Amino acid sequence: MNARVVFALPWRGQHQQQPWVMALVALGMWSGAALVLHTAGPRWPAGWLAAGVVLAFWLAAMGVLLGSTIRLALEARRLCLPGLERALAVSVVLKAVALLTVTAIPLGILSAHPAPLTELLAIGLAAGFAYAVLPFWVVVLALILLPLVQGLAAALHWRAMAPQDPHFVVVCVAFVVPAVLLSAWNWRRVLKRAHGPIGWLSRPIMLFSSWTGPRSSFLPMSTVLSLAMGRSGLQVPQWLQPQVALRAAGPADPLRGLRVALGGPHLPLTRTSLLRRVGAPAGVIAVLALVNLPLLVYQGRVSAVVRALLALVPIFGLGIVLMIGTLMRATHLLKRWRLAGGERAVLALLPRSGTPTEQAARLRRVLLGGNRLRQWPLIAAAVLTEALFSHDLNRTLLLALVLGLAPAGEAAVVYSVLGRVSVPSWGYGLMTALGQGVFIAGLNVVTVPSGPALAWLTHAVFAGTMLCYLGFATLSGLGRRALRNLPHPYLGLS
Amino acid sequence: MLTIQPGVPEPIYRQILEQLRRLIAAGQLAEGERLPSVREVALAHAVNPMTVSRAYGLAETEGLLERLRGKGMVVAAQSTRTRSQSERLALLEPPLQALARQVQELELPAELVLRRLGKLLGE
Amino acid sequence: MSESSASSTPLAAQGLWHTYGERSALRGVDFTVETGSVLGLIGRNGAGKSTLIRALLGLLVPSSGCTLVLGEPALQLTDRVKERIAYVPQQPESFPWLTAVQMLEFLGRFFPRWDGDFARTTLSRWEIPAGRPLARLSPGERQRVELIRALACRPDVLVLDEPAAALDPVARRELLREVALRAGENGCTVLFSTHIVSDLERVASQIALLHEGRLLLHCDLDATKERYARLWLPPRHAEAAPGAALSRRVHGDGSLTLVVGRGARGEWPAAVQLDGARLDALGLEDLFVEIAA
Repeated sequence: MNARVVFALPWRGQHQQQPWVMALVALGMWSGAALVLHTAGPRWPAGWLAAGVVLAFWLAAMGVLLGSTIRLALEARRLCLPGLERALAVSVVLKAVALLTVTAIPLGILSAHPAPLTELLAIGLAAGFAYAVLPFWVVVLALILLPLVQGLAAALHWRAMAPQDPHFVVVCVAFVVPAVLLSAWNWRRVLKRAHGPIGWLSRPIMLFSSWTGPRSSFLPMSTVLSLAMGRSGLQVPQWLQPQVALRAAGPADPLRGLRVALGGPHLPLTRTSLLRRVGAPAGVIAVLALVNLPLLVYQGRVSAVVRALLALVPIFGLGIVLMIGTLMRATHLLKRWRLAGGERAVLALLPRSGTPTEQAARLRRVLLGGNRLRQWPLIAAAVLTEALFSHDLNRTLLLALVLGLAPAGEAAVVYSVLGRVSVPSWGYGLMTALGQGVFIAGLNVVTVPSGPALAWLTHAVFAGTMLCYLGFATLSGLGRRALRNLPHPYLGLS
Repeated sequence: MLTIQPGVPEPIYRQILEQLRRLIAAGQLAEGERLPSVREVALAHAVNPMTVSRAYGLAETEGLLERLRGKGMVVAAQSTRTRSQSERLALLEPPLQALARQVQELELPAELVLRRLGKLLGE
Repeated sequence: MSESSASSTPLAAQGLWHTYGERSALRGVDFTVETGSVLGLIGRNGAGKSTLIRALLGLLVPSSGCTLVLGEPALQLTDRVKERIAYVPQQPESFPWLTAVQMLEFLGRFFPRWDGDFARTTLSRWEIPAGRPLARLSPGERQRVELIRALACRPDVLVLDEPAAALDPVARRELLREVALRAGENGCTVLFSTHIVSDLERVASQIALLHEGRLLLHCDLDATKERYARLWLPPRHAEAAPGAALSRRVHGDGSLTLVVGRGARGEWPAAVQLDGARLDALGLEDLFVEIAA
């Protein structure tokens, strides 16, 4: 194991253009932080904390990238290359420390409050890494219980949750240390089972797309979407398998035909199958909600309970459902469209499927038009609930903006994929990770009764949301223009 | 009945043709005997039917086979009886050429080989 | 080219160039496939076979050049052509959420000439579990289902990319039988790419050799065997080697091995008559190895 290898990893194992785009992303995030600082004013705590949050998001994304190298480590273990494995581990640690120092030092010096900002950044980095390395159900659980923790903090007046409080360090350590230790433990656990299939329970999110060598895609896939996609090798129980309702799918019913052809989340299912598949996760969510209730009742403040109920279930729940659905469809499209031997080739040569213009229109309808039924009602319901309940215009608007990220992001993915905009595979991964981060932070900000201590978070969320919209709009625009110039929409990336 | 080797330098249609010639000359295919159809041969050996029909066609041109309506390809009547000596000698050409080449490679004198050949044929 | 003759050329490529990043997958390929022929496309892995096939069918936009299917530009095929062609990709992974029966039933609705009985009987003849989602079939079974799909639409042009790759020898033989029959009886044009040369020798009527993106050879199979041979020249005759050899290898001791072809009148190059020179007939596999190594 030599120094050169340690420095080269893990970048050498990834896409060629990576260094350039990484630099661009870093530039973007740092300028975003500067922008936020300028908007909120270079005061402590508001301005600096907001900037710190933006950079914490960036570090979280970096953490995700670092954590995704577990796939490389897995390959190294399978190929019996212990030197590579060790170099990788060392490299990850060194890079994490380097990233943290590089970010924390200038920020600390300029703001004259190094400690809380460093803690914030550390939380970001650790969170990103844990997201990539811990088993997916742990991540899901954490995401769902997050608002609970925040609600508890607010209800119990835990001022330590605010970075400017001197006790924030406790929160930081309480999060970072277990996160890092558990991640390291799962890393080793996964590697120990390198030579066989990795069990469902310990499989990190990174390992969900099947690692079949060069065709594997670098996509951090979120949560239970793998269940819904019914992928083989995941031992989905028989009764949860999707049952296709073919009916008249085909030239007689072209939209249904396209839905059958696109598959995955677009498949038209039989009624019983649909019921089973929706009922199962709905049941899980109901159980979790019920579990949270007693805790809220316990601290005795009824209005807080009511608020939590009204906020948690409709708004947060709807938000999560929205997010999961969007991610499912986006990653499904990305995966299927990439395959050379996939449906794309069949669809391109299928007769009786209309002219290329009609085909593109139908694709748009199935992939995006369905959102009229899938997403907008959810968004409307959530926004309405918020408006009725809080009578706070700002919060309602922020919620609308945050929720709007889902259809905007989905449109960006669909258009850029169909239009063959060349985005490196990990680019989508980064996009989803960032989008998810902003989305969940936004949901938290709106739903959870947090005191003025967390007001800076709102600014950060707003900035993040705007950045995401900018990115999505650019991608959509590029994709739409390109799609119009294609001879037929089934070309895919060649 | 036929063996086909795809890997050898000889084209498949020629292999079939050569085998037909030898089988008919040796009498293993009697005159009037019906040959399997092109489709049957193609299916049995997983080869292109056009290759088989080309071989059959050439055999028909040579007079080895003839086409009877309703029966397909049959061994032609005259082929065994009026086969001239020179024609039969022509069938030996490939192994003779191969033998000549091997003799050259081994740098053996011709009379030595011919004597041995004479002994073998005499038996 | 008149309308009728243009529409009768099953597949054609003109001046095809394609690059992936800095790597050129196809360099100026010009070729046509004749109606009713069975063309075997051979080449090493990475020689550009799949790229060529995809370009021919309009599944990618070539960097330059154009391709035609049954007379129409491949990127703008009409239903008239799409009904008559079938393509099986190299590693079929389509519709993993459907069962074999569902997939065939669904796709069959798009093709006017669909032969559902053939599909059903072949499924059972090849013992493919019909009620299981395709995702849970082995790669060999998956490939065979795709083949059934391609054959059941009774195409006039059948394009197969490494069709036998995932099949065991028995299944491969079965596949070849089907392909050979189709071509022979229905005048179907078949293009298949492979690197298993012996399959090609049984069934193909023409071969094309793709090497590093260039088409080095394209002619009749039988003619190829009779037209090319391996010439070995001892060191003393090395300079007398004909220039127009298909390949040339120098050995450690200075001798040369060349692949030479007959001239226009069927004569071998003069160097064949030199003493010590040896001319060997070549099997197709040897020819391929000599040229593409």
